[in-house]
Amino acid sequence: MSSPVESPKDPSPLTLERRLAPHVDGAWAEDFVLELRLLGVAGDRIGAALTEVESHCADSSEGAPDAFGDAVTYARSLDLPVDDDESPRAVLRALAPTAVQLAGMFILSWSFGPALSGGPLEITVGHLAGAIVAALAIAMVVRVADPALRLLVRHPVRAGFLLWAWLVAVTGACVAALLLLDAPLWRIGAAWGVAAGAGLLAAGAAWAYADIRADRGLADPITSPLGPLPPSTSRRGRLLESPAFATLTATAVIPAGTLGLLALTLALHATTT
Amino acid sequence: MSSAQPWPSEWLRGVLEVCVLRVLADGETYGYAIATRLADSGLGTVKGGTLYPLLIRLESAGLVTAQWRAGDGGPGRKYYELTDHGHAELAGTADAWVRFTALTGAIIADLPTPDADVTSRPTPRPAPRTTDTTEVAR
Repeated sequence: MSSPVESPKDPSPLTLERRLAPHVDGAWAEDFVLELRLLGVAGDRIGAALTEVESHCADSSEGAPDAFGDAVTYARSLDLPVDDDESPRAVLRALAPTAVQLAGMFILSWSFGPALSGGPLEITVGHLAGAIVAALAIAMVVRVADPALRLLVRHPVRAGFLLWAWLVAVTGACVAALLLLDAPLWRIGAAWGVAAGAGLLAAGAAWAYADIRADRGLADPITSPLGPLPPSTSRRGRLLESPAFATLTATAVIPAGTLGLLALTLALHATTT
Repeated sequence: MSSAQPWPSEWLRGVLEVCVLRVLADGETYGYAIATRLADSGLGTVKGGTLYPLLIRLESAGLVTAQWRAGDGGPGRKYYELTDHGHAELAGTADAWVRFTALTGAIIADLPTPDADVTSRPTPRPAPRTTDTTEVAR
């Protein structure tokens, strides 16, 4: 029986790959898991494939690169079934609660200022155009998620620049639409906007919570076929893996951000009146 | 050829499946034990990168079933067992391989070496030229 294969590129012993496959070169395991993730393989199948590599390496005292060759090539050669939950439609469905929360956040933040000053909320052509641009941007993200993620992993600098340029373009288009297309389409009481925004925000958070309870969220943890993995030895690892953390990020981040925006609006209103 | 890999990899690719099925016919076992058994039989080193994709294909095809078991002081292992379909596949493929190797052996043994007297053999005559009616019809 060999000791764990060490490598200068080994990630921390606290990582999931290290706990699942202590005899496998950490960098190799990371590349292997990442490629299977990008291929859309479910977490339990990824865990089983990595555990079999671990089993072979522990028995043979061979390093994974020697016994299995390149991690990416080996991951592809397994030809594991792709999980339906990783399809663009499923990803879009899983992101829907977040999109509803974001819509609530925008409507609430747009309505809150007019509500404080007692004026009506004007829905302009720019609002509509901005919403369409944002929806198209989300659809594009879902459509090209796979090649974009591959590019981000293989060429982080180039992909990071492209992502930044894309975000600037989308934000610029939304801001330009809001500023230039200011012809009013509808005029409603700001209180209705506040109520609609708060309602959407609460509904989106409740939807996200229900998805987590029903295990329909995006989370697809890598599991061992041999039973529960030993818990992470770090406080940070335990926090990131806890169900409470997943619930908080899915249900509380956008409402908390909205509260921050409302507090800022309130402070600005107080200073100008 | 090295002592670790006595046969060309092209040959091994063709014969590996039937050899793995044959090892499994002796009873359920796990990947590394299959590789060791094949190496001890003289087939050479079968790398994990070759063996496990094959085992997954056999499992998908219903020729083997697999079960994970925690190891006693060692690593957990995935044990493979031949199904009835796998036994039937092995019988058919093994028979075909035996006939194939007998045939290729006979061809190789029968073919004269380049040093043999070529004049003693009849020279193959070219096939008689026939009119291509399709060509004429055009």
